[in-house]
Amino acid sequence: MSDPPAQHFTILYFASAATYTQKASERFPAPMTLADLFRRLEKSYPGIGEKVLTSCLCTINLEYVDGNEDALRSIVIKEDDEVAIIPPVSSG
Amino acid sequence: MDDLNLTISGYRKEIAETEKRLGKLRSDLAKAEQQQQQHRHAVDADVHSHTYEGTNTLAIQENGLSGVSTVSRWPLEAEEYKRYGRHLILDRVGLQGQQNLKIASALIVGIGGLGCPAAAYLAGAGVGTIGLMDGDVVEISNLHRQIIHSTSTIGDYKVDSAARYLRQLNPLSNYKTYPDFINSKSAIRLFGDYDLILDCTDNPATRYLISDAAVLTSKPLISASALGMEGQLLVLNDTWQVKDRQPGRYCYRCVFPRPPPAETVLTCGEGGIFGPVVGVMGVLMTIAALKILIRGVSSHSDKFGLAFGVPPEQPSMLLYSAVSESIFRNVRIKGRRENCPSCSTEATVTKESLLGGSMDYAAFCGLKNSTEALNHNERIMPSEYTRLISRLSPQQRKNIFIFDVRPKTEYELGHIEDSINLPIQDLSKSLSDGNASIKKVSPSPHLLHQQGEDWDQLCVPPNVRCAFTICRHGNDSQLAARLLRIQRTDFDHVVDIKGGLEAWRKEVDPTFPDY
Repeated sequence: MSDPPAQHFTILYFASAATYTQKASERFPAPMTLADLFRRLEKSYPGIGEKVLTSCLCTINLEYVDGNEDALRSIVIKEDDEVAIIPPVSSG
Repeated sequence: MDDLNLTISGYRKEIAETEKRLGKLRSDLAKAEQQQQQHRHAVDADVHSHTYEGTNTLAIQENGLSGVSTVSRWPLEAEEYKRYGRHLILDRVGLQGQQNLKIASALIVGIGGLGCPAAAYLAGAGVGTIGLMDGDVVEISNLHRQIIHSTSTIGDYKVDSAARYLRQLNPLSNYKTYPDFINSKSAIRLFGDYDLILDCTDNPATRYLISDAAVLTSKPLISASALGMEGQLLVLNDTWQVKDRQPGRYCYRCVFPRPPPAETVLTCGEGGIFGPVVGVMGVLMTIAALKILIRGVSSHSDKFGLAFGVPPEQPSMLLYSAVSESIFRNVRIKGRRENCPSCSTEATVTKESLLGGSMDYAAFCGLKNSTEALNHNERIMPSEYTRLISRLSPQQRKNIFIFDVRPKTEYELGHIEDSINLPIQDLSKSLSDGNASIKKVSPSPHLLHQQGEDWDQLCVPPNVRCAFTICRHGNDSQLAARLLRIQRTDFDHVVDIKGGLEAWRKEVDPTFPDY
């Protein structure tokens, strides 16, 4: 995926997140708090919060981010960041 | 015609009987091979007790393969130098590494897409004892990825099929087979006998169970998974993760504290799997396992340097995506959670709770909440459906619609004549999009089928529009029936075809593709 346009960040969807959104990735305007991103996702993909996000691992630029309420509000996603939504995969 | 039927049933009977005899022969062969193996190891153990006790007497050893007696005064046997020569000369393995492997043991839980390549490379490398656990039998749909099973072992226990292959691959290792599905008791009992565990299973409940048991028995756990074009790899509960005095171990619960909702979990049978993708993940598991076994499970020496390119004290998960621009991504994860119910100082999961069966993993993963989505009178068996349709006039048939709610790709593999493809995902999506035409209606006022009545007695009145839903196994079609009732008020009735195309194949059309 090429670099995001100016003042945007990229979000990558893995496994059931990709199934739910029917996308491998997309771009959103930066900056944005993680809480705002999750609200935005819920609006675009109703039910994604409960069905996917609650059990997911979330990383920004390959680094783990905590999903508790305070963290969600305080973490700001910046331009060019790469957010990954990684649900557990259990089959094999 | 009768003669032909008789001939066919005669052949069927003969095939069934021959298959039964073949199965017995295979099981006898497996037993004999196991005995031969045990005998060989008893001889080996004897030889080693002589050499390692430091006696200067040269031990006379029976070579299991050639039957020729040879004199051994080297740490490894002549065949082992040859067999493992290509990795013995690697700095990171060497003689000590090979000796560590020889005394090591690994248990593979699940001998499927991950377990097959994992087992093959562990055996090839000379891991002394390999435990194989799986309660399943080999099916033809396994073979595109489960590479150590074969067409000739279809119907056999996967553990027997695997052991036979592995003995051919490397007769020097000892293979133990457990033809059962794992449970909390057997996990605690068995894990204690092994140095390392590989989780090659296929569902969330089992993954949490195996992780808890590995923590409680202090065993490193290699956990990987794959679905579609993606895979994940975790190295859990490794003593090596303990840095200085900081408790560094972490477990599956630390990475994924909350299981995914049961209805969102897909198996390879449902979601599909690209063979080499799960193969890659199984091979990666072996690399992680061999690194630990070569260095020695309790050792902190660092022959391999950094694990996956990051220092081991920085917990990480490896993601593989065959279709992404970055095929591999190594993401940093949290490591141990302070309040982890399994591996923290506040742990509540205990050996007793596992042995006593009070840990209910199925309930934890929400599996017990799944009930039939529809009532009995909102569903029809495939045979009843075809009888119903056959009684209708062409005019009435125009008012009957059959919706196949599988994904387009599956629909194209084969579908019932006149069925319309309406993937369940599109249905759910159009509902969540807030389609203006959607009007929530109460269940049909004049039910086509009243409780207790027989479908065969019913006729469809003129001008009544009926929708039937069908899917692969009969789960999605129930949800689809619900959604259609809400979205399509132009239908008087929406009825689910019970048991899906699987039941259709049994009751109506045995030639319908079984994939």
